[in-house]
Amino acid sequence: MHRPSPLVRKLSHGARLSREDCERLAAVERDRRIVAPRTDLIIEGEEPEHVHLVVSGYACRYKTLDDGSRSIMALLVPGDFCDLHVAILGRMDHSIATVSECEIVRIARPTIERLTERYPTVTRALWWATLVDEAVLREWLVNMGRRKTNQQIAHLFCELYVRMRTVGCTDGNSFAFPLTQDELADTLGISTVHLNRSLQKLREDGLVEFQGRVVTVPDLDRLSRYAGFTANYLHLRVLPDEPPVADERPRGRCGPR
Amino acid sequence: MPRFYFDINDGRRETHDAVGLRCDSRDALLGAAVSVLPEVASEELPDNMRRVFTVKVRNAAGRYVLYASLSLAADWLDESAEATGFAPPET
Repeated sequence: MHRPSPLVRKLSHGARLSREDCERLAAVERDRRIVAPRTDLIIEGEEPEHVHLVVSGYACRYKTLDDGSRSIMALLVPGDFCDLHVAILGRMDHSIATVSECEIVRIARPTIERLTERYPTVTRALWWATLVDEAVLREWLVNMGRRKTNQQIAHLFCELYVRMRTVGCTDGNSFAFPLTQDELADTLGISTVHLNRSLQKLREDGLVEFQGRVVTVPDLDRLSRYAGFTANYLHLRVLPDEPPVADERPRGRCGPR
Repeated sequence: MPRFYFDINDGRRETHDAVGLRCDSRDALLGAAVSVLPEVASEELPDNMRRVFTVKVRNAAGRYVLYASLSLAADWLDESAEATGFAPPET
């Protein structure tokens, strides 16, 4: 039996997928391409012709401001769709780019339409994924508006840890985190200098460890308490301590290569 | 592009920057040093009537090239119970 992909792992939290549903999804994501790091997948103003799915690596949603600075509003990890329903809106109101090298599947819109017409459980799972994206955005709004910087950073790491674990992309307590300091600062809406200072405090307090492009969370409960993090907004059926599907996938395949 | 290091003191704790930031101009360097102060201050305040936040910027050779500070100075003008409706502080 083949190993479940990050997409199947993720969507199995949103609906009870049958074997046929899983096979159909696996067929859709078969045609993968490698995209270099820091490459735009689609730019603000363009009309999307394809739905992009991240299979490995990190991508992000961003906007460029008038002064040339950038704001990153979402991080997309393996199993995440970049723009599932954006065709309904016509033109992109933001851009999507890879952060690390990514494996990306470009799915033609008619393929998605056929999928949703024939597979109602998959449709439900895709709705779930879209609603979870909105929930994450709400949480980020609270995070940026109301949490102090250290908590805000800690909260982001809690979230990513749980999301990466859900799709089988953690290695023990560690996961790939390919963002540069500038990219993380643009994600949090703070200056790079302030970010460096805050990361140093988190490191000194033993809450988070950084080695190269890998983040380690020694104690998720402790970091969660510090950040005020609860995973409820990710709407997982079971917390990813027990993966919903058996893990036969070699670790590390999902990170940037 | 040269790299600079920002040592920040919030009046209680000093952090020595080990990561640094690349800056391509004097304005960018000054901007980075100045803009971090209100960010740090908004984390730490309100806390006291007096608080000074400083940043000292080192170059890659370890020589300090720039200093900036941001001060809070709060004073009661009339803290009597009559004026505020609150009990005055015990002294």
